[in-house]
Amino acid sequence: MSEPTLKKRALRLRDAKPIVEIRNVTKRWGSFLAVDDISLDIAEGEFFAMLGPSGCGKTTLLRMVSGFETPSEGEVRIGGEDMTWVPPNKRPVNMVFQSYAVFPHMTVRKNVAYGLEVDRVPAAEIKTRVDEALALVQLSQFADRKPDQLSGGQRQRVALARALVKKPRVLLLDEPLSALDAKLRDAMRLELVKLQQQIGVTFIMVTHDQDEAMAVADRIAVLHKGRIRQVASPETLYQRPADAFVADFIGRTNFFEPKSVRRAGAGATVETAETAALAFDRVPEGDITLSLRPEKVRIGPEAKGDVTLQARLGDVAFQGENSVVELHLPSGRAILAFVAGDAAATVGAMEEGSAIPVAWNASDMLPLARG
Amino acid sequence: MESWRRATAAFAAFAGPTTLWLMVFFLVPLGIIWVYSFGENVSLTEIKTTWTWSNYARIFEPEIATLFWRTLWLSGIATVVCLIVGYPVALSIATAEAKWKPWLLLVIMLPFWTNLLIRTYAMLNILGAQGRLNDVIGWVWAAGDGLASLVGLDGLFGERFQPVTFLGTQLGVVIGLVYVQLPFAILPLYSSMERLDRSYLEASMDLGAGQFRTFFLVLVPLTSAGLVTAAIITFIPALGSFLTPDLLGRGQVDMIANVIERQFKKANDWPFGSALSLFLLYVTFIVLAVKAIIDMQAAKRRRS
Repeated sequence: MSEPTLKKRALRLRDAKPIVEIRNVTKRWGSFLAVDDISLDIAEGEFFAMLGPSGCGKTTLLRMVSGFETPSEGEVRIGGEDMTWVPPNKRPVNMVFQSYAVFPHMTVRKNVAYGLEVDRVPAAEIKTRVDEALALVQLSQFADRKPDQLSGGQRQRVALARALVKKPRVLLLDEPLSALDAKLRDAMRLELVKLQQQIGVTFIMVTHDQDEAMAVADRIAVLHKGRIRQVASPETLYQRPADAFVADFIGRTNFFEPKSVRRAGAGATVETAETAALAFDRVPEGDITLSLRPEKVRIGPEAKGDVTLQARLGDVAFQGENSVVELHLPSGRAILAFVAGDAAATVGAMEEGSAIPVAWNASDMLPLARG
Repeated sequence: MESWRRATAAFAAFAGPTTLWLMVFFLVPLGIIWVYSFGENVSLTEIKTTWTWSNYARIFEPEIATLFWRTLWLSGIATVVCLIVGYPVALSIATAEAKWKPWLLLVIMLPFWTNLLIRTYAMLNILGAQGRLNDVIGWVWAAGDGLASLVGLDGLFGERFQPVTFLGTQLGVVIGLVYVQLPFAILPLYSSMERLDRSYLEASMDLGAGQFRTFFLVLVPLTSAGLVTAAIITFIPALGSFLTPDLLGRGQVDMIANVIERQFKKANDWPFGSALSLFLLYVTFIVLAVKAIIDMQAAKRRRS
């Protein structure tokens, strides 16, 4: 997909009506607050991801959309209708379970037909729709197999076909790729994106894997301890994280603790152990930290920037197109840098512990509220 | 683990005593019974082994054959009732909160702490003509009778309360068998439900099925192994039950074990008693063989 179509898609989705509206939803288990007053709109046709570490409430939120949990407070609307108390079998959404939950006592065809049979769809229609769904996930030749004769990836596609054959308005995916091995996972990511664009159904995916969310989603909600930290496109999350938690969770970053913060209006002058006083136009309220992405760090004799330091070289991990370099700053702090091309070759030839010039631009440091 | 072939001494030390015990107290008596079953009574105390088949032939005489059928029938009914009653009980334990499960299972196993004989006498107390169950039925009758006379339908339920006869009837024996066997049915059912991935049931609901269809189309098929085990483990001991028909049947609802007992005691016909015992054993083997075949075919169906 080229850049202009991406833009167009983002614009179209921004103007689309919300298909799922989560309104001030709270879920308590005894005294434990699993979901804490979350409001969220998900647009029709969007590929939306809920991302967060385990226990952040993302699965509970998904299960409240599917109907397996009911909110302690708040409202869940689907397609403009209040669905808060509607049981799962009466909701226009279908789910792909983490374990796939493909019925082991039925063939692939029977599994896919199940949802239509319980809806008493006429047999002839069931046959055509099941055939279509199986073709969509490229499982036509496996229709008469039993699930335990299928691979993990195939079983997952049965689960997808079984959910999609019901023509849901929203497809829910609970950690859909976590049970697959790494190679297959990458392939399935692409397939999921293609599938979603082909059929245009809204996908809501729950995952703890930030790479996965970044690769597939139009927008991502980052959750932590039952609250939303940020909802944004993958690019925005990476480049303009709302706080230190998001910056740390999405990609990798280096944090610099401020020694002093002198505020002036919305901005402030921040001094750290590594840097002289730097002025920032916008600095969030409260306790802050400075984030610097590893790819913004330049190293080597030619490195230039607002901040220049002499560091000592630590571990170098070669990762194909770039290398991850650990640098020990004079202050004692260790930071990471991504280097590519000639610089990587230079660094690769150096001894651990040798002195190396390091530089970056002050504008690449982001003042963020501590998460 | 080391192969037992290479550690013969250790293997003999561990397996030896058990093997000896089973030989002396199980295989040898069984062999004696087997030999007896081909014998004839020649005097009050002497049995001559003549390798006759007549003892086995007598099993198929109408009187005994009927008893065998009754045994199969009562055990079958008791098994079906155990499954129907036990299934929801097992389900509610399996879906109960984790902290309650051990206690609920304890309640199921509690009867094993009391001797079967004492529990059966308790059943006599409950099922008797003036028993507790009849007290309850009588109370319900009185309430119904009162209501009927209120609306001017005096005597709708009969002139006087007639206690229901449980003792000495097939109903009473089935109640007793169900009571004794129910825990054995619940435990394998519970374990098959406990192992079941809850998301199968959620997937069914998610795909539009209600509770009812999820139960019959997903839960029951996926716990069928537990159902078969529960059925076998209920049916086989029921086939050989002696005390329950003896006490609750009042000698009027004999099952095969009662007849076997009579051969060894009152009738003093050990050869015939032996033949009956072994025949019951063969029937049990057939039941187990049927289960094995079902298991094998299920495995084959999964593969093909």
